[in-house]
Amino acid sequence: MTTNQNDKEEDIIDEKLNSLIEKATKANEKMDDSFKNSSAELNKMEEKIDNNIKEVEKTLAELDKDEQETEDEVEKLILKEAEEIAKDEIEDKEN
Amino acid sequence: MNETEKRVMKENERDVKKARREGNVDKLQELLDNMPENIRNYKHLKDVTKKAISLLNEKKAESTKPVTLTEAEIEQTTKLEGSTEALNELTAPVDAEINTIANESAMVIEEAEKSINEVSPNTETLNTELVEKQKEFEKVTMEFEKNEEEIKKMESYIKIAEGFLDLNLPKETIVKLLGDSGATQEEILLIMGPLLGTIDTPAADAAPVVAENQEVTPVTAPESTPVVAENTTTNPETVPVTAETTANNDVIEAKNINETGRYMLPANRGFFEKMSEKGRSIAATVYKGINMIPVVNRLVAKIGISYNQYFINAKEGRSSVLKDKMDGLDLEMKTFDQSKTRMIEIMENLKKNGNPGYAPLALEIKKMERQESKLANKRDQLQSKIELKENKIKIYTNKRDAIADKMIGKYENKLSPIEGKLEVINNEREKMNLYILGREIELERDEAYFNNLEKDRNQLMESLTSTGKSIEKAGRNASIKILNKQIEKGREKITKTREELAGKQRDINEKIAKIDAQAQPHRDRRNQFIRVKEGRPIDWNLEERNRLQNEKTMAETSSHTRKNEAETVSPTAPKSIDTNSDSSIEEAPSLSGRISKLNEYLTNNNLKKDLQIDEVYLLNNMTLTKETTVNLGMFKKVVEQYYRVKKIPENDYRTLLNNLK
Repeated sequence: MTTNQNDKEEDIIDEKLNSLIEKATKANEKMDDSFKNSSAELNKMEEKIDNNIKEVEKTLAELDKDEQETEDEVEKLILKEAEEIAKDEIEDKEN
Repeated sequence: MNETEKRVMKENERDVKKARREGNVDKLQELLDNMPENIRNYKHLKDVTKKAISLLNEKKAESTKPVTLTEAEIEQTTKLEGSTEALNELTAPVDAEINTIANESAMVIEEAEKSINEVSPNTETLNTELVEKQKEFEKVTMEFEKNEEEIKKMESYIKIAEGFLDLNLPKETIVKLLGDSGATQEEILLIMGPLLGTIDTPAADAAPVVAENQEVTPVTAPESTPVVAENTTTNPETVPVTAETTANNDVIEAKNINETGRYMLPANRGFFEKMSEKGRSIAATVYKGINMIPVVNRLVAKIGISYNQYFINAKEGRSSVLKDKMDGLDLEMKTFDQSKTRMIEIMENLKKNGNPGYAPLALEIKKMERQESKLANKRDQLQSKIELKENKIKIYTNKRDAIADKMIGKYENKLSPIEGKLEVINNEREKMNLYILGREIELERDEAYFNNLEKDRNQLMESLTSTGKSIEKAGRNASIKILNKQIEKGREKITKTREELAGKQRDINEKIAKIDAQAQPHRDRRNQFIRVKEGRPIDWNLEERNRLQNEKTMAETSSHTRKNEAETVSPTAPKSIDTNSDSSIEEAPSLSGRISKLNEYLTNNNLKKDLQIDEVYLLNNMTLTKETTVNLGMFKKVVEQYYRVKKIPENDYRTLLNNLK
């Protein structure tokens, strides 16, 4: 193969390589866009889930508070009742 | 006919002939009457005789002359005679056979009777034995049923014991709890022996305690003391409180009494400390065991305490003491009244008789009336006390129920939206998973694209070497280097994107699992509250608590919106379903093409409509185009995720999915 022929061949290969480079660059750019979009979309989805989770947490906190109030109420009832029974016992013994 | 009978018959025939010739109707009639009934051969002779009597009677009626038969008539009857003889000859073998059969039959009957007589006593014995066996069978059945009940009971105790073992409760506590659940010492030994080795069973009078794996401080239980427990609710029989037993409460040590305050809410500790010693002792008694219950479960335990029959029994116990006193007063008043009536009668008699001795009696009666009035006042006071106590019981139970109802109401109001939100969260997650699948499809496509670029690059490298360049030199080509970098960059992006997607998925799953776990105890507590209020023992269903610890089970939380399996038409096992729209093409077929094929198959086979894939919905949610290609493995994942988003029960699509190709 002569030098001229070789040069010609190499030029063709270079052209093809450049075309491949262009394709690869475009694919990378497309991937960047796609990644950006999907990240945004997933963040949006996550936000939705987070908001719902926050609402659940809020209701659970209210429930916690309710439970504490109930515990307080029931404990007071028990203690008052215990005290009353004690008084009754003493009273009955005296009578 | 035997020979004798034949001979008698011949004689009869002769007599009939003679009487017929003589025209002696009476004789004929007599002969006819005397002919045997059951011998068939006589039939003909009887007919002949009857005919002769009939003819003679007819003739007698026509004329008063002595009646005789004409020769023709005699001939007619003679023919009949011949017929009789012929018939006798014909029937003779039949008769002989009949006789033989009759004899044989008689013998058979005789044999049978003999056998029956022999068997009869055996039958009676067998009947008796049968009745006994039946009784025995019934006894065995009853025992079996009893054993079955025992087994069921033991199984339930084992379940309870296993639950507590999972909680790492101390063995003494578990033993006490089993005793509390009604297990006998023998049963406890049977259950716990193999699990824990040698153990001490609780004393029969030991108070049961519910506990968890915290600060186990053994407390000497007074006899028949009330129970502080989640799973020991109202049971009047188990906690009989009398004045005597409440007196035993004094036994509780001061140290334990003071310690009880530690397990109360800080807001109530001050009140507890200000209570009388007796009151604190009672509180310590009812709070016994609370130290062993984890803080998060103490609310239910305290509700359990308030539902403990102790409080009701204590008040009723006091009331019964007062009632006894009141009954005593009633009796005393009755006696007084009787004495007073008697005195009045005596006084009236004395007065009537003009006896002056009645004056002291009148004084005595006055005294009695005063005494009676005092007793009546005392009785009224006692009655008021009893009524007051009864009202107090009612007030207490009303307050207690109101607290429990209020909390149950709050659970009802708040858990329902929580469940709804969790459902929404789950749905969002499923949609997100579908979206991520779309990205994975794209990444696969990109990967394939870069693979192809690499293939082309390699071909060009080969072309370069064919021009005479060495591989090293070809590798140093500037364009090749740039291309390599781009390919490398692309691959790195694919890896990074995959990692990001997986990370996002993991983060969200963790968040959902966390919130689910936070909600779970409240769900359980709601049920425990209801059980305490209904007076049923609490079921320590630990599995339920663990059900949302991983992603798989978490997904199942949304399953309650799915239809029952029975309601759905499960697809009959389909043959393989070819979703490759064009098998001639080498590259992966389009997602759209596969969906069309699948939908077509579902329509043609009349399978459940819900299984049809909404292509537009799917492509939109995955942000993919119709042309997107997809391999079979990925297509299966897409279909499965689509069904999950659409909440199709897995049973409905599993077979279908397995047969996709």
